[in-house]
Amino acid sequence: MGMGFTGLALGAMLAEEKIARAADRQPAATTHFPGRAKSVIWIFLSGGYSHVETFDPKPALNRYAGMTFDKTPFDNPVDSPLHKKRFRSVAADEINVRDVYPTIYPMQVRWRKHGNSGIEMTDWWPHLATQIDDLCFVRNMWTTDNDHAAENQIHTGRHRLDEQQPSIGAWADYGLGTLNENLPKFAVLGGPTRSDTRLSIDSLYLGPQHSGVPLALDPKNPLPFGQRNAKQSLEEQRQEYELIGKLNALSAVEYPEDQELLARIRAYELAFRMQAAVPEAIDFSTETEDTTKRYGIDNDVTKLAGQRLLAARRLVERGVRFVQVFPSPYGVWDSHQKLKENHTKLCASVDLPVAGLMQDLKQRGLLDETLVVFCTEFGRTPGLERRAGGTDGRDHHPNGFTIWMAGAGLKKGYVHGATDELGYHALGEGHYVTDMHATVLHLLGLDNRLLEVPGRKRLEIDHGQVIHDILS
Amino acid sequence: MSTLPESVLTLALTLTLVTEVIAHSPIDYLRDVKPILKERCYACHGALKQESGLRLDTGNAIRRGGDGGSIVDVEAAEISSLIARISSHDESERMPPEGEPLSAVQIETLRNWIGQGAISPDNEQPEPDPDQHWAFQPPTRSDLPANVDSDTSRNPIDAFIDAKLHEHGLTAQSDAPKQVLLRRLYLDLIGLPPTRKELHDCLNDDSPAAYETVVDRLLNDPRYGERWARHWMDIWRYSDWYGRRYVPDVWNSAPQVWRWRDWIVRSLNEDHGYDRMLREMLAADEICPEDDSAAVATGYLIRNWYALNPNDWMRSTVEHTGKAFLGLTFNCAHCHDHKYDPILQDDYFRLRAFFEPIDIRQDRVPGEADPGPFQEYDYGVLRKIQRLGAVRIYDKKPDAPTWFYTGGDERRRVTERGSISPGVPEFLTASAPKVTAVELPTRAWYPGLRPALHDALLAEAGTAIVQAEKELVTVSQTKNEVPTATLEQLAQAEAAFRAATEDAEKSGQPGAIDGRQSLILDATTGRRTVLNGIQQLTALEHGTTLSFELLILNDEHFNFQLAKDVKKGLTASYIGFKSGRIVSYQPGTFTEFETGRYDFAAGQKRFQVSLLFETQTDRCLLTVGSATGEMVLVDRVPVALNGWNPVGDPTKAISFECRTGSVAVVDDVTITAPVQTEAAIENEAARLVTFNFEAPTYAEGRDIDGIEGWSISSFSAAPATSVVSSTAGNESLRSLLTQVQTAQRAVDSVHLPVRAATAKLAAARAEVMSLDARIAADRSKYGETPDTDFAELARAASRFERDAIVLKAEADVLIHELALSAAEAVPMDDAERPKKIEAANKLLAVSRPVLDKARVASNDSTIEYSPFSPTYPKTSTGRRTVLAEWITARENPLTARVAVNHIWARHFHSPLVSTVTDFGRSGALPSHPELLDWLAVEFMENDWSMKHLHRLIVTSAAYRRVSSVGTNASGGTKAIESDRENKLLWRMNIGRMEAEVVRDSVLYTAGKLDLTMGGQPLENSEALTTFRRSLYYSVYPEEGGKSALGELFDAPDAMECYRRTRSIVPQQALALTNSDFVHEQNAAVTVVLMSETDTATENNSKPFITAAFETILSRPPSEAELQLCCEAIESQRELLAKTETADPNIRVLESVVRAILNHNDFITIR
Repeated sequence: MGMGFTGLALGAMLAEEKIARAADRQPAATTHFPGRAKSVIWIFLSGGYSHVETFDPKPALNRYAGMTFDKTPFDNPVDSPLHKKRFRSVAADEINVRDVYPTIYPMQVRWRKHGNSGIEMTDWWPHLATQIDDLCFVRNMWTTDNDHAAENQIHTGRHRLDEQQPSIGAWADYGLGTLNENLPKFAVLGGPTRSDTRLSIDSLYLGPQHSGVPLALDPKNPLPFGQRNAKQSLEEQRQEYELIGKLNALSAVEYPEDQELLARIRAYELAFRMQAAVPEAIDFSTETEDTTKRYGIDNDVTKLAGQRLLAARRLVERGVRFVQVFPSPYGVWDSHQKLKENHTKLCASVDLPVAGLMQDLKQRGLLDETLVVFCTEFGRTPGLERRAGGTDGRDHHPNGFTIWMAGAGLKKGYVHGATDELGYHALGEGHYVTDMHATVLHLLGLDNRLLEVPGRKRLEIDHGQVIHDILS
Repeated sequence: MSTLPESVLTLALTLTLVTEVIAHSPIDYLRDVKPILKERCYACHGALKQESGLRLDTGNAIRRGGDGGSIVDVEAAEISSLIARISSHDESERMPPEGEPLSAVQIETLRNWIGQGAISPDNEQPEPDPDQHWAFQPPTRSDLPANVDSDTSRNPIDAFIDAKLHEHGLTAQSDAPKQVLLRRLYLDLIGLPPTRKELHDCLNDDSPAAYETVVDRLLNDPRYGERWARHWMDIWRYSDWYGRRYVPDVWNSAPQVWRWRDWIVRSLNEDHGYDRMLREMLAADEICPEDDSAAVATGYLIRNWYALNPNDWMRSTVEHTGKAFLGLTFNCAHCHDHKYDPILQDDYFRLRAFFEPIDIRQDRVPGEADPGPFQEYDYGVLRKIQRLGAVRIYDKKPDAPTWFYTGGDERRRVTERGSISPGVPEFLTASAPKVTAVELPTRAWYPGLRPALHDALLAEAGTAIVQAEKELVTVSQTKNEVPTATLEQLAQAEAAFRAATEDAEKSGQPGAIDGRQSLILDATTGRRTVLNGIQQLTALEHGTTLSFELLILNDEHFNFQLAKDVKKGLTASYIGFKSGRIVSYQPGTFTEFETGRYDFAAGQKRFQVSLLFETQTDRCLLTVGSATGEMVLVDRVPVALNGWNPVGDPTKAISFECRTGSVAVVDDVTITAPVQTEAAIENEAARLVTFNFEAPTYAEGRDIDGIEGWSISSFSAAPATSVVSSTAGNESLRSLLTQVQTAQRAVDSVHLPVRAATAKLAAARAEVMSLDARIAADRSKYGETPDTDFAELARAASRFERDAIVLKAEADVLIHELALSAAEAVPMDDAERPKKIEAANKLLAVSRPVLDKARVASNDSTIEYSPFSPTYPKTSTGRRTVLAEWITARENPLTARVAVNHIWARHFHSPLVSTVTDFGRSGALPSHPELLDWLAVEFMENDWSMKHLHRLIVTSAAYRRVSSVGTNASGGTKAIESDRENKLLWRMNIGRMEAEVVRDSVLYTAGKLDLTMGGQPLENSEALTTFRRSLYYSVYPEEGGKSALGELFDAPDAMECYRRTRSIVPQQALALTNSDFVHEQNAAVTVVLMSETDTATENNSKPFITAAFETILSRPPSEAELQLCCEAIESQRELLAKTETADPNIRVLESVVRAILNHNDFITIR
């Protein structure tokens, strides 16, 4: 990788380091301290999965099913000051106050302990359960938006009403050097599919070069304009790029100090190579049948998630730094009604592929240098949602939810933090979403606080705190 | 976050090591101590503020201490209160109060500095007084520096720049070559490159004023306004509507905000002063209230609008007014006093208070349809995309309070402080500006009075007359005799109907179920729900009875309801007749249950229904009797009342409904007062309300909509009807009547075209009369014609308007009848016939009740007439005028400087003050302070003319220099070493085309750019297939808010873009080499170039290549470039020779054109 496609003798005219210096405006792309992870696969499930029916089972919900909070022996969680603190509507509060549903709704699935670690998980994850001794759970997450802009918040660290910040992937892209010059550092698979969720991959003031690059899973057309025009043969195009390169090289002699010109020459070389490299990265034809089966690509239920996760593995294998995967369509986990039916179906669609990803990474020795993050925007209420006569769902719940991570630099088969008996509040200080960011960046060798951009003062809350307890 | 043993241990260990290192090394105050204090302490203990009388900005001040006495004790560093406070574990004690505590290393550094004697230099100066900050002083013209080099200094700008260069011993670069200058100037001033002809003209013009001539020409080119509008749109955050585009649902900005964009273009082209533009954007509605073309300037404020949260609207407005106009970061004072500038948190809210009363209104634009009033916010309702009308700001709520709140969270209101009054920061003004309310002229608060609107309406009505006249002439010329057979058919049908009627009366089977007429609800297709709010009812007492007669003709689903909220479609009580089952709600619930059954097939069709209201127990007793066999089907069964009481409550009503497939007849709807005896029920006096559907109140064959309080619910679906009929109860009579009507229509259809056209003409003429009369009345009412008698004019206006409405409704009925007869005339075997008839029937069913209502209204004794628009408050608070005057006052030290800096930045690709939105104390210092100030004064003294400033800048020598570094005697080598970033402007900066310029230039050089100006935004998804200037395509801060090219070439973020980013990513190369867009434009330009050069032969491509360079890069190629291109052409030809390719020559030339387009010199501005 690296050298020119055209065989241009550019090196003779231009010192390589000059080009490198002009590449872009990011700080020296070296880590602040040795990182434990080279890459991140950030899996986001849109809509808000129920923490109590996935990774934070709450037997008390079954014991007190049908009772209101105030009738249980526990403190009424709605009276806790945490309730207001971690709960902020977008609409001015006199206009829109979201009801709290106080009648306890029992767990819709059984749970049991798994693996040597004996971590509890519900029965909707039979395949992931086999990997439990590699997972590291954080059960005391909280956020503040009780609507779906929380989807942006978990990626940017800011509530919808606040000034927006670059997404976690963009920061990683900004802070890290490249491992493969032919591919973007920050790739996105399967999203964001809605206009208002683009913030989840946006780089804002870091500049567009640090935004996530959404890749379609179609090797023929993976990124905008990424395919040679149908009117041209490869050789014709190669010659055209060669002419562009030569003309620009002539200019470079005339303007030796023009850094942008040097960067542009490099961008054209990379562009030409990307046309081949990107399709190759998402082309599964070289994968064995064993592998594609492991991701469930042979089954319609698991195919979508499986393809995206396999593509994620291929990308990190090729040196992409941050792969953001949306394995399910927008908002589908949002289970205001028919939670049992919905979660049964959705868990089945991701359980096998995610377990397959874990196995595959391990087998290839990639899990030691890859960090896998599995998260959603918020949890779901312990109470039964009664809106519109509902009888079988849960509402949004920013006050407590669970995510898990696995891989490079993390404890294995470990649980950090907890929610209260009813699964309502994250206990203790809990972890606001930026604690995840700090942890992820820390594992990549970056200190969130040192990633400052002149003139863009970030707030304390944007930096978050590394969750040291989960580091190995 | 959770405390962890390991990390504590690590921390302790680190601390020990650190402590040892620091303790043994001497602390240097300036190097080690002062930066910590500056970063974390100065905001409250420095020049800006002296909390507790304490300053920490000099060593002396630290040793002196504050109100609480000494804070450092060199003998006992550990117990010095400075150390105690910064290392306290008590959060309420610990300093600094916000943010992370100081690190262990920092604390240790301070401790050791104290321990080592708290030594600092003697001559240390305290932080300067914030009020004395350079940008807070009014700019003045300093004397021009003596001309250091009269050869290169062309104007005062050069005097300042050259003086600085001289000071640093640097020599400026020479002028750029003509062609480089020309391209630079074109792209800068109009955003498009020069044409080849313009290039040649320029190269051939050796006159001394050649350059200036081009400058003037370009500044007067309308494309200048478009080019620079986009710059200001960046700064003023232009955005088309957004929120939830995919729904769609308008949450932010407005679909009509493009009128503000057109205003910017117009104002720039007309060289309106920058001060005037700002004033109009903030307060056109107060400053020039009758000027509609200026009112749209308030789009600036509308762009910030956010439907869901008014606080957010205010926050964006305060933040960006501060940044864009004043270069102040007011937003930092949202949560606390500003940390660097003397802006108090109070000032934040005082600035907000100027905007607090605003709201948006939507005026009709003459010549366009009326968009109606601006859609009020309703949480549950989507906000429609309304493209018509002009949106503008007005003060709606003069008394709206501005609450002070803490922590940036509007829920934390400090209500005891009361409403905050508008005001500006003290440090910027000698005396607080005084707000006085503005009395608005009538035409401003009642836009319906505007002559332009009257003229447009009258012109439209006049056109309608002319059209109607033409139509009448046309239809009159066609033959219109009724065929005899048709007449005979009618006569037969009428005779049959007459005979049957007589028979029916004789045999006691009248057409109505009670009296002569009944109401028939026919929902054979569609659905019909009629409502009555029974306003005659003055009380609903316990024991009141409601009863009605019912005949079901088609048994599907008929129901009677006590409606709880007619608008929302909520039901309090309900009696349904559903295919043999009589159902209702259980008392106290909305749970349906069966109260009885009927056997429709066996002839149980007629019923008496009665409900006895037992309001005290919130229920009714339902009784249903069957007329067949005198059976009681339901006997006093308790059913729900659910609090229903229509007295004085407009949301409640009774309703009858037929769902699709049902036909039912209703009659004698009666509400009777509580009575003691059966006999009394027959007593007329006890009847509180009766609807008997008899003439003359109810006319045969007419819908009840609009009569005696009946109305049609929105749940209804055409073509179902609710008509009063004398044949309703007799099926054979009804069918005969239908035959008569069809025959009648056949007869009428012959005359219908002329009747319809005549009616249309009458309606069109009446409309003009109506308009004239309403205008005259309005003008009298609002004092424009003082000697007139308003009452009389109003009476006339009312009469003419109602007449016009009747005539219009008559014409509509005839037009729809004509359509129906046309549909009925379609051959029977045409598959479309039923659909056409149904469609025509639907329209007819809608237009008939409209006519009925119009006729009823026509008989009112009212003298009301419709206004031409809503009315708005007659006074405006004047707050925004005051703010606008203050911002644009000659004395304001910031406004002109900030503007000049923005303009400079776009000419030189780099500003004089790099922090363009922050001229405060944490902002950057100007690279050329005297120049900035001189330009600011020059700007203001020339009526804030931007064209004046542009001319001054682009004619300076500084602007005309080459951008290359140079290596020779010019001194370039030295300059590049001492001023690599060209801060001193010894050469021109290199620019890059903005996204819009890239696209526009590709199109323009291909001869494809459509230079039509203004209008509704085009969808940016069409930006690669349609060819207007990029400025006119939609932009908004959501996915899809940028065009495909915009996304790649750094199109502005519509949330904030005070400066464009300039990224270089491979995807840009892919777009410019692979896209169909580029390939198509290349093909176009290749064809043109081939025709122009005519020498694109196999052997000599040089003229073609030269022309391509001149067209795309605005310069001829060098010998080396020519050589490279020729070789490439040769090589491609060889390649294609091996394949079968149609037109290989064109294909090769297109490729070389594309390579030239991808040349760095295309996107780059040298």
